Amino acid sequence: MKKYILYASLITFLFAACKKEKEYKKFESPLWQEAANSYYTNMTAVFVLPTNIKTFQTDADEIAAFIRDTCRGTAQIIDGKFFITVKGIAHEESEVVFKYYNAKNKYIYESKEQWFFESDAVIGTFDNPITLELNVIQ
Amino acid sequence: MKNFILCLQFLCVTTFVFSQQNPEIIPAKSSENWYFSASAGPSFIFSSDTHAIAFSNRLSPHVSLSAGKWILPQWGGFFTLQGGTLNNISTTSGYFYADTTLATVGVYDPVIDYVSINPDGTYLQKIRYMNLQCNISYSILDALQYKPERKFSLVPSVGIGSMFVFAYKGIPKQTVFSTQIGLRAGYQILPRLNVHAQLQNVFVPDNFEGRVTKKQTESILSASIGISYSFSPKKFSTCAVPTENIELFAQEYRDTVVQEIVVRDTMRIQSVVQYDNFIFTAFLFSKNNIKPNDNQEVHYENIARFMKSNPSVTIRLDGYADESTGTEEFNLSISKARVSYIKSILVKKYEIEESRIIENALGTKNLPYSLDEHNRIVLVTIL
Repeated sequence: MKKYILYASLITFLFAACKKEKEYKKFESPLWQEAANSYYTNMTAVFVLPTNIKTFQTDADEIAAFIRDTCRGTAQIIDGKFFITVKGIAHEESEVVFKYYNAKNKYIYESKEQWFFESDAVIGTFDNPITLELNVIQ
Repeated sequence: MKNFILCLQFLCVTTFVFSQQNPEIIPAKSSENWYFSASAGPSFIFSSDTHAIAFSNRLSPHVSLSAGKWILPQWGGFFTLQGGTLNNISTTSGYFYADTTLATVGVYDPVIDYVSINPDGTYLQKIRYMNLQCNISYSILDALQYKPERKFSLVPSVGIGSMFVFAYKGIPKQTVFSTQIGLRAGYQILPRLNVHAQLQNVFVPDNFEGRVTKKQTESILSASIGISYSFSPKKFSTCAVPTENIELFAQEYRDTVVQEIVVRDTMRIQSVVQYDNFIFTAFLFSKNNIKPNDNQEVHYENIARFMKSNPSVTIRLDGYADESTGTEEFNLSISKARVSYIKSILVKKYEIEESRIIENALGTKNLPYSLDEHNRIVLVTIL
């Protein structure tokens, strides 16, 4: 009996040490584009990525703003900062979700923080950009 | 190499110091009490960012081989070679030896070119290593009371050594200094075979995998189970003749001396008759050895003095061997050899007449003591 307990412990030890790591869902480049529509007001935002993700930032990365799943603007990258103009309708006040695609690791993230559309609003500046807190999309 | 020499010196000094502490036990000879062990199990690293990985993913297998020796029942030393892969989690914060863009270090970790990055920016590193260490071990139960027949053992150990990290998937090749503490619980299943479970923690510098963070050290916890094979069962000889005989003899010898001084020759002869056949002293031997154990030369000196001041006295050398090893014939022949050896020293070195020494080899016949190690003996009896 002692022998079997010993063998079982050994096997458990070794199997416990050989578990496979978790895999995350990966995406091809989404190539987000603004929906062709007659939006006549906008708000602007300047973002940077959090430190843990910034290391993997490349020029092929994409950021886009979405209101009710419609793309309302895409970002340009200048000096590692994302400049984005979000287009909308006056008094719209809808929730804006920013999505970020990391081309190196092929993950898509979306903003954790809640943002609402406001005409002519400015979120962050070139000298003081907002750090975009992100959740990965699975 | 420097680390290795330092380890050897550490082992030698500590074992020498501790081996001086118990004068009743004879330290094992260089060929005695060696063992070899092999074990395997999971390892677990505590590094700067390990919180970002699930416990089960941090476990990785390792194997270790050890060779060691018990110098005293409680003190021993052993070398261990442990190797395996560590699942370490890392981030790009910190500096990296593999990137030399900023003199000796840089901010780019080449590991990220080989591994899959997690969404939070962490990534799993596979660190392949080999750790060579020398350790001193302390058997707690034998320190409390030495019992050769005991099956359980509980042995903490400490040691120092070198960890070799292999160049693998962006991790640079390195050798770093390591220290370890461990605890091994063993159980004897056969006379020479033990099974054991062991917990060990190895401390290495923070930069051992090529990444410099704010931590000073990182530690690797290993749990393992394995087997140990002893080339000879763990046994030690005592250099003390059984206490009761020493006391009895000492009393008788003192009486003899007192009477000799007071009444001189006539009474001296009477006193010898009075103490007919008393055991004067004894020589102890190690297993399969015909030379007495060390530090017993004083017995020759005492015998010679006594025989020179008592010219009519003869002595008998009763030689024995232990019962647990060897055949009856072998034991008889080794007891003869022991007796002859003692006699030859007394005759050649101390110039005692050969005719005054009677040889009496008994092998395992009528053994005088209950413990085996006491029976590897030559008793010197005054006639």
